[in-house]
Amino acid sequence: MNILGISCFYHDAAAALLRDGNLVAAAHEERFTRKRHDPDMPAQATEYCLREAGIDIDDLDYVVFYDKPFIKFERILTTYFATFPRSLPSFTKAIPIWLKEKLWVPSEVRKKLGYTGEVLFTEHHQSHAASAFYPSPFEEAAVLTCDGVGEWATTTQGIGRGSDLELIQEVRFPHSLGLLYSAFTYYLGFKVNSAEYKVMGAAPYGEPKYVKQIFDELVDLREDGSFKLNMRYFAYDYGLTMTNRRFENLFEHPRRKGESEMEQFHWDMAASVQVVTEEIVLAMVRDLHRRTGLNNLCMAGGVALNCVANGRIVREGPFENLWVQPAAGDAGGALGAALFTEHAVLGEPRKFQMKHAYWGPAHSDEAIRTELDARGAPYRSLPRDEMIAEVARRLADDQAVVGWFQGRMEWGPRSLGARSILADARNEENWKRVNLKIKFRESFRPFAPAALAEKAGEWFDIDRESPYMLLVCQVNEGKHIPAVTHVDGSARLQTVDRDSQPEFYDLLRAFDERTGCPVLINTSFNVRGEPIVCTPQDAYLCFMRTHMDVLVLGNQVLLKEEQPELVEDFDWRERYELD
Amino acid sequence: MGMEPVPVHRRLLNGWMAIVARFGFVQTLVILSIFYALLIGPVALVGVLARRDPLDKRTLRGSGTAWSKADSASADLDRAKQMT
Repeated sequence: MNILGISCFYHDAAAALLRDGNLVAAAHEERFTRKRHDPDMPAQATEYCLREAGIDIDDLDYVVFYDKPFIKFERILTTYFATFPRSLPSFTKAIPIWLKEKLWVPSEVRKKLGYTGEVLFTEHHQSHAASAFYPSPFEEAAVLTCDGVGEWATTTQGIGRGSDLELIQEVRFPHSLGLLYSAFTYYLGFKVNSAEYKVMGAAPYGEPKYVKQIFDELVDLREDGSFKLNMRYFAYDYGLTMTNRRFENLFEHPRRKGESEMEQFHWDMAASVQVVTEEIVLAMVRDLHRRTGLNNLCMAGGVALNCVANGRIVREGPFENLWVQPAAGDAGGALGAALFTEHAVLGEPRKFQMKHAYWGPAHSDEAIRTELDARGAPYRSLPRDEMIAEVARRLADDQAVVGWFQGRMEWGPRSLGARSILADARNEENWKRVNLKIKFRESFRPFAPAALAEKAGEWFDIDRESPYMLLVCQVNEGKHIPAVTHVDGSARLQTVDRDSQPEFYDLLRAFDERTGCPVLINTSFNVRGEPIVCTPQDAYLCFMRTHMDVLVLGNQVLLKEEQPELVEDFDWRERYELD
Repeated sequence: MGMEPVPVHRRLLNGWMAIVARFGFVQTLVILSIFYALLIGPVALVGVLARRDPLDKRTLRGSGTAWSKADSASADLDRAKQMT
């Protein structure tokens, strides 16, 4: 049986294909269209999934959409009734899109994917919960989903057992932890549904001075982990902004203008909302443990991408095990919709366990060489082991910044060694160099380390694997890796094992043998505002437009100084909207 | 490689399309505003008079729970075929 899950129309459209209960392929639409957070129908991602499976669209048994459009529309209308007349601007902006597209999912699927069969629907948080539980290593687990909003629910608690998945209780719109975080993201001048991770990265620079004020005025956190927001301070239920004038008056500062200087107040606000988020998540987790008595926890939804909060869940318990799917945000809803249909709706037993995040397209050495030859780009094709040794040498001895393109592309928002930019984590200069000259992004933003799984415990205060870069932990004392150590001594760690990424693992091992350090900077292979590269062509262009020194495409090694000048009749910086 | 000059008739057409698009935008805005006032307004007014609180915004500070029983759809094929 072939089931295609799709998520789209809001942000981060994606498609995921199951064949007989096993995941065959999954990808974000943005990687193909080169439009960051592309919300449109995932036609190219679907095309790729079908190609990977070697089937046609007519071979699909079901296409499953990741939420219930009519329930969501009912929530939107109810919100307009409740906020009349202030919701007029939002109404005039949103309704045309609903009438044109969002209410007609089956016909949009037919039109844009060419699919003529049955379209099914799961609820938004069912999709999240399914994406968290079914691919997890657990037979039985408590499930927490938490994001901006789905139909009505913004947060749910549930239990998964075998093929069964039941949501027990929920917090409903407009009371939303995801939207609270997005409101602060907006207030701090960053882009909503895009740059929440920047707030998380900014938090360690500040003092959480406003936690009490937030809990006193904005958030009512109950003993059982449930919460309500004081909507007098927010505008997202009726307007086109997230916060209102009363919010600005409360904190006695206007909203920060995007790209302007961050002041101490802004760092402190970021620190405060981060602490508030962690406290709420921990309260919900404790309550879920009390209710279920289970030892395993699965999480999904955008809030589950908050790896600082995840790190605290791991350290402070009470669950023994935590599993977060790599595409925990809305893109992952595509996978969840397919899995929910397979197991909960059709009653098929579970057989798939996600052991890695590499579910996107791969490109053979032959295809890479054809592309490079067509461009006239000089390169050397090396035997695999020589390539690994050469790259390790350049990273260690030449302090090169390397574009690293290997195997199947990652599923989820993080680069995990398939489409990565790598550099030596021991060299503090690399932090500024990669931020400003290669990624062209804000200088405050930290880089994440990738480390050999078996040596991670020597370098970081962590007692488990973190293969999807979704846990933050402390760098151990005496370990000098300043380029990936945040100001509070923390790091967003990826542990790398040989089974899931042999080339990346062997590179880390070769670097360790040469330097005694099993850690590298691992950041996404893109520039600011650009989706992570998908094809060798994307990778080559990104390499040539930035100050990267070396590009590795499969076993092909390219040096910047040997490349002909890239001639383009447009300014590529104007192609990518700042995130 | 130099850019080809845009012919006059093409520029006129582009200008006209821009004007029409602006008209279309304003027209849509006006129609939607009328719909908003006539359809949303009366229901909203009834809600205000009946002191309804569909978004549960009034009871901020409470001692009880803010959890609601999950209102999830049952997991069967007929239900999955529906958009509601």
